Formats: sequence, C-alpha cells, structure tokens
Amino acid sequence: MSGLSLTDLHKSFGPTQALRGISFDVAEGEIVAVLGPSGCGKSTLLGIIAGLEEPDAGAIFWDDRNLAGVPPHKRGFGLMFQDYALFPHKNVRENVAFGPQMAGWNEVAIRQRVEEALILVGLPDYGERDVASLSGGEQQRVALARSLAPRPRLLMLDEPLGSLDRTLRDRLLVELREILQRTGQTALYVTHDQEEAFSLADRVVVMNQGQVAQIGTPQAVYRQPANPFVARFLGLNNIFQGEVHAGQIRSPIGDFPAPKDAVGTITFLIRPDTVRLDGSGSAQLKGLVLARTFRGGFCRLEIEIASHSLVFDLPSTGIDLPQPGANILLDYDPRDTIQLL
Amino acid sequence: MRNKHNVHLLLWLAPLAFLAVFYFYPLGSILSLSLSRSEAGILAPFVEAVASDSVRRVIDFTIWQALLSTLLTLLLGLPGAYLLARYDFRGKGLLRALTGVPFVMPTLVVAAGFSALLGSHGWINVALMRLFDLPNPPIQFLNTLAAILVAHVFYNTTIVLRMVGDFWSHLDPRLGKAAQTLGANRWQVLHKVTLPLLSPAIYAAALLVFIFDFTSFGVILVLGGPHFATLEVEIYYQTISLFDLPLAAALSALQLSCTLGMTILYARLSGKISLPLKLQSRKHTQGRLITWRQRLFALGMVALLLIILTTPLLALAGRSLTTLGGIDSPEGSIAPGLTLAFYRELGINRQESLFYVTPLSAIGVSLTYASATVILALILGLPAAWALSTDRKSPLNRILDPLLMLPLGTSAVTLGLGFIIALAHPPLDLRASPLLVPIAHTLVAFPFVVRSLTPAMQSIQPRLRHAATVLGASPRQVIRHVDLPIVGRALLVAATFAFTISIGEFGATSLLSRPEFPTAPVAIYRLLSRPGAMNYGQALALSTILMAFAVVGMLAIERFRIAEVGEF
Repeated sequence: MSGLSLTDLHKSFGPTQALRGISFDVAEGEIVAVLGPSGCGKSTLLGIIAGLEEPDAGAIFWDDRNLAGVPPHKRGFGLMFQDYALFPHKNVRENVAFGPQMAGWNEVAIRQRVEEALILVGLPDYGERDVASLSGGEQQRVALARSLAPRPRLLMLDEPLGSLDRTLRDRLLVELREILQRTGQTALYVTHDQEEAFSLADRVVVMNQGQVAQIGTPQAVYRQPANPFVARFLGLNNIFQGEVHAGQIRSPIGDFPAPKDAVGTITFLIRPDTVRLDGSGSAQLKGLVLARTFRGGFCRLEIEIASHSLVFDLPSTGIDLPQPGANILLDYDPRDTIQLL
Repeated sequence: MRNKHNVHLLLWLAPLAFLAVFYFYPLGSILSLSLSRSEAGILAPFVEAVASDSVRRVIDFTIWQALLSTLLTLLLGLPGAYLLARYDFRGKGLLRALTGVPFVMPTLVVAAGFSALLGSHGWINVALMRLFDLPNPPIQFLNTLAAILVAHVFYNTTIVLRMVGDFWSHLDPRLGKAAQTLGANRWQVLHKVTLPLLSPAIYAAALLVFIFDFTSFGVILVLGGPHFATLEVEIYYQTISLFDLPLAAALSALQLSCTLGMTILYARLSGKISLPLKLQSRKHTQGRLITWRQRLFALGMVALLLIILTTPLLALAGRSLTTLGGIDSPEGSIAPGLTLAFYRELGINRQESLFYVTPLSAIGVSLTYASATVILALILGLPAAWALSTDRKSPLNRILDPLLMLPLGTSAVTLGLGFIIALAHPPLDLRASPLLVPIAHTLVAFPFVVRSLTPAMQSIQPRLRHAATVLGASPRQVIRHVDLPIVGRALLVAATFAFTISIGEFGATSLLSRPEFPTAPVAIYRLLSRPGAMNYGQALALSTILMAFAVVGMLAIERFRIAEVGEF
C-alpha cells in the first residue's frame, strides 16, 4: 500500500515495555491520531518511526519499502516536537529555512517556501524575529512552519498543543486541521486529548500500555468503544458485567435483552446519551437521582440503581428533570447496549 | 551502557589528572606541612594558632568584616533586586549590563578606583581642599574599615541583584495579591509570603557574598592598609614577608575548612533555587512604574546603584589623565591639567625604577598568561563539560560535578601557597616554569568555564540534534549547523571568562609571579605601594588599561551569551 505501515513494533527500556506489538497503517493524505494517556508509549512510537530510536522488533514500511537502516535524515519524515525545539541561535526565517537547506534546495526556492510556510501558519512578517521573543502560540506556529517547510511525506506531531492554554488551543486546533487538510499532508498526530484527536483525525488509534486498544474513525470509536479501557478513557463509565441467559442479560442494574450473539459472561456499556424520559423505550431503568448538573445543551444526572452509580445526559430543554432525591424511570432501548471485550 | 561509562571516564581523564596534580596535591601539601610542625597531635598547630592573640584578632576581624559587608550588600542589593524584578523601565537593560561590570573588574583596579575617588589624592579630597582651602585631605578613607566595606559592597551587590532579582522576577506576583485578598497587609505579604518564597535565593546569595568577603584579598591589602588583616592577607604576609610557611599553612588549612564547608552549603542552597514552585514568564511579573512613589523609589535606587557602580571607575579613568598639582618628572615638570604623561611613563624603563622592565611590559606578560590560561582552561573544560552534559544523573557525574566547583571555594592565596609548598621541589619543581601562573589561573577559571559550557551542550542534546535530524540534516550537518554555532558561542563566553579572570587575578599571582615578569595587577600593587605622584599616576594609568580589557571582556560575554542558555 502507499503510505506508512507499522508491523508488530516492540521496544523496551530496561524492564519497562514501552511498545508491545504495535501495528497499523497511515494511508497517503490521511490524518491519523494516536490517542492515549501519558506514558502509553506514544512518544516512543514517534521516535522509532522517525528513526531516532531503533525498535527491538518489528518493521516500518513506507510505500512497501522497509525503512530499517535508513537514517532519520533520509526518511523524509517531519517531526514537530512537544516543546518545539526551535534553534535558539537562529531567527524565525532561519529556523524555517533549515529543512529546505538541508535538502539542498536553491536559494530562490528556499526563500519562496519560507514565505509560503510563514503565511500558511499566519506569521507572514515574523521572519526576522528572534525565537526567544515569541509567545508560546507563536513558537508553536513557527515549529509547525519549520516542520512543513521541507514538504515531508509524513508529518508527525507530538502533543503540539499540549503546553498551550485552552482558548489558544481551540483556535489553533481549527487552524491546524485546515492547514493539514489544505496541503493534503499525511500526518500522524499524537495526543492525550480525545477532543483534539476526534476533531482533527480521519482515523484514531487508541493506545494503552504499549498496545493498540482500538482503531477506527472518530465516530466509530466514540459510538462503539471496543473495550472498557477505551470506554473509560473517553469518559464513558456506565460499565457492568452480566450473565446472558436465553437472550436476556442478568446484571446488577436489572435484566434486559442481550445484544445479538452474546453468550456467557459479558461486559457491557450503557452510553450516557441513550436514555429518554418519553416512555418510548422497550426497557426501563429505575433509580434515584443523586445529583443534577446543568451543562448547557444537556443536563447530567447521576443516578443510583441498585447501589450502583450511573451517569446520564438528558436534553436540558423541553422537559422538567427531577430534583436530586426524586425517583426516576428512564426509557432505554436495549439495542443501544454495547458489548465490550 | 558499559561503553558509555568508559567514554565518560576517558573524557574525565585530563581534567581529573589536572585537578589531582595542581589542586589536591598542593592542598594536601599545605595540610601535611601544617601538621608536621607539631609532635603534640593533629590539632595542635591549629589550637596553637587560634590560641595566639594576633591570630585570634585576624580570625575575628575576618568574620566581622565579612558579616558587616554581607549585611550592607543585602541592604543595597535587595531593594535593587526588587526594582529589577518587578518593574520594566527605560534604560533597564543598560543598568543590568552595568551591574555586570564589578563581576569582571580586577580587585586591584577597584582598589585603585576607590583610591582615585576617595583617597588623599582622590577627586573628592582634592576638591574639598581647594574649596575650603584646607591644608590636609579632610576625608580619611584609605586604611579604614569603611574603605573595605564600600569596596565589598561595590563587588558583591551584583550577586544579590542577579541571583535574587532573577528568581524574584519569575515569582508569580499573584501570590502576593492572593495573600492580600486573604486579609494580609503589605508588610504581612512581605513577611509571610514574599520573603519565605525568596529565602532560598537570598540565603544562597548571602552565603556566596559572605564567602567572597571572607576570602577577599586585594581589596583588604590595598584599601585596608597595614592595620587590617584577614586570614587571606595574613597568609600572604606570613609567606612573603616573614617566611613562616608552617604558620601560613596552618592558617590556610583553617581557612580552607571554613570555605569548603560554606561552598558545600552553598551548592545545596543554589540547588534549591533551580527547582522551585511554578515559575512565571517575566511578561506576567513585571509592570511599569505608575505611581509617584514607585517612580521616586526607582529614581533613588537607580541613582544609588549608578553612583556606587560607576563613580570609582570613572574617577579612575579621569584621574589617570589628570595632574592636579605640578609634578616633577625626569623630563621636566608637568603642569596641572589633562595629560598623557602617566601613560607615556609606563613605557619607559627608569634606572631607579622598581622594575627590571617597563610597567607597560606587565600588560604583555598579563596578555601572554591570559592566552595560556584560555587554552589550558578550554582543553580541560571541554571534555569535562561534554561528559557532564551527556548524562548529568550518571553516578560518575554526580560525584564529579561538585568536585569541579571546589576551586571556586578555595582562596587564591591558598592556591598560591600550595603551589609554593608543593611544586617547588622534586618530583615537581615548577618554580622556574613560566606555566606556573597560568596553571593557577586555570584552576580559578575552571569552574566558570565548565559552568558556561555545560548548559549550552546540554541544550543541544538530544533535543535540538533530533530536531535538526528529522529536518534532514546528516550527522555532519548537525555538527556544523547546531553543535558548532551553539557550543561555539558558549566557547567564546568560556574563553572570555578565562581571559578576564586571568588578566585580573591577584591573590595567587602575588605569591607566584617572578619579579622580572610582573603581571599588570602585580605592577599596579607595586606602584600603589610606592610614594610619589608619578608612581600613583602610573598605577592609575595601568589600572585604566586593565579596566578597559575587563569591560571589553564583559561586553563580549553579554554579546555572545545565548538568551536562556547559561547559568552561574
């Protein structure tokens, strides 16, 4: 296939296993986000793809060519560092020009490309600035311009928005997506923030303790988390175990129809946004309201069912929601039950 | 892993060998000489020394003047640090740069500067005599405790300004505001929030100032006169005038144990400064001067700092170009007014002169020694800094890092004495070697060289190297475009440190330099201790030349230092 292919990458540092059999593909022009908590091996993965570190086992392919033994500067991959790593002895223009210079472009082409890259990130007049004088957001843009300038066939971004404050992050996220899409850039984006991953990526690779926990489009991963780890990482905590008997789940929070093909003991998830109060469901959940929080577009209810605490989100308009302390009857469609591995 | 350790060991080889032969061996010799004197037990020579009245007086005075100097320095430095930390105003950059001047100024130049300002032939006394028609200089400044204290304040205020000021400028001012909203008044904020937060920086700065005052030599020798002797000066007298090497060695050992103890404590304290609270960028911590009270405070503080930092040096340069009364020189009398006579005289070898050579040639000697020092210090400092920068946490580096800083806490006179005792006979007889002085200077400069190289080397690896590599730079291009430019600038800074330290060093040189090859500071000292307006004028002229070198050196350091890279 054309693009990046990772097969069964392993890497250990002493007793800690950073990567334990990572395999996935990034097609040309695709933006893939690697999502996972800190310490799950994301940064190690980027270092290995870039060639800065050697994998203990496994292989990296680009367009079906094995990259083993290809030194980092000949891979044509760009990497934008978490702390930017701008060269302190060069100004903005010289930082951005570095990649094209190393690639041996001619002066005119370099000048043009630097200008283009700076316009792309919205800093057209910053060429002669000293990098030490830039704010965090400006440094981030310069780092992006620098990694885009040599037209890498793959751009890797390591938590590029991690150290910025919320508002700036939201704004830059939109710009970043636009820039990557407009240039058709193949990109691998590493983050611990699901919002970033979901709003930016064509596909998401969720990582946990050096392994791939799930791969899919943002919608698919959110709709259908594969296992309790992914569900919890996405903030979906209504997870229970139950026994399947004759098409029914028997669980601590009640009995209802089981998903198709489910047998034996299963772990399942009830998504917080799948209940209603309109009597339309074929199953009911009965509980006690513990807390009610207004969240703008929806209300979050914490509900106790058989001494288990569940969280549900209900539309905040149209209906009067019960107060804490009141009993509640939630309508539920058993087809929304998600079986986890 | 094994391999890496071997590389480290290899890098450490030369620096460690150097320290072993020229630092630990001489200090060991001092110790063994001071012990050998007595049959009455290990502590006997020290007990004996401390029991003698004259030595007790010296020790008491050493501590007393250092305490007093430190206190005065804090008194000026802390408000100054507050001004630089919390306010942004026009000319602040210049003020900050000016505060760096004392750091590179040779002690003899400073002593000459204060003499030119407040000495009996200094500007102020001469002006007062003219104005009120007095027969004698009204201000007795030289040979007083005040002279010593003022010179120490001149020297060390910078340390407080920089160490406390830098730390303060990164401290979140909202902490104070938070305290105010919780009901604290201004004094309570200062007392309960600001000072406790600043305390590691203040203690570290105060201790460093105390160490420098404790081991001060040139200032006390020249400005204090014969009445005042610190341990350092006493060691010098015992060695040079009384030839009582065993007593000098006992005093040295005593002083060494004090300074080493304080240096270790200092290293602990300064370690604390680098891992504090959440530090804020300066943009959030500094404001403009708005109220009249703020402006008045700023104006007063800036004026005070400017007066203390610049007047002695301006007085020196001006006085070296002026004759105030008629002077009889061998070429005839010189009329009062502007003159270059003192500078011309520097180049003339007089029959009755106290030099075998012209005073001007002392500049040549100093430059030669300084060049040798730069080369030596870089040859030894580079591998040490390299080893330190690759892995600061490796066990080897953790032990060796503080070891390198030891010379910083060892007085220069003690080093000189150690050389005289240890290197004057086989197996190492270097008495006649022209390398003796540069080797001593290298020891003094070594910690500074390593300290300015290591952070730069750390900053490039592995972060910036990786950044360059993924941008397509081959290993060779990485060295050319990243390592060399960044380390190159740090090398320039380190070289300049070594150069300015060497050119101004007086403590060790005063014991080691040979009469026919005096360095510039030694020549200034000889000239200052001679009577006569011509000698005095020449001392000032030579000091002015030395000052010019120091200022150029400082400007070079400021120029080449990369922002945010570099630590003290």
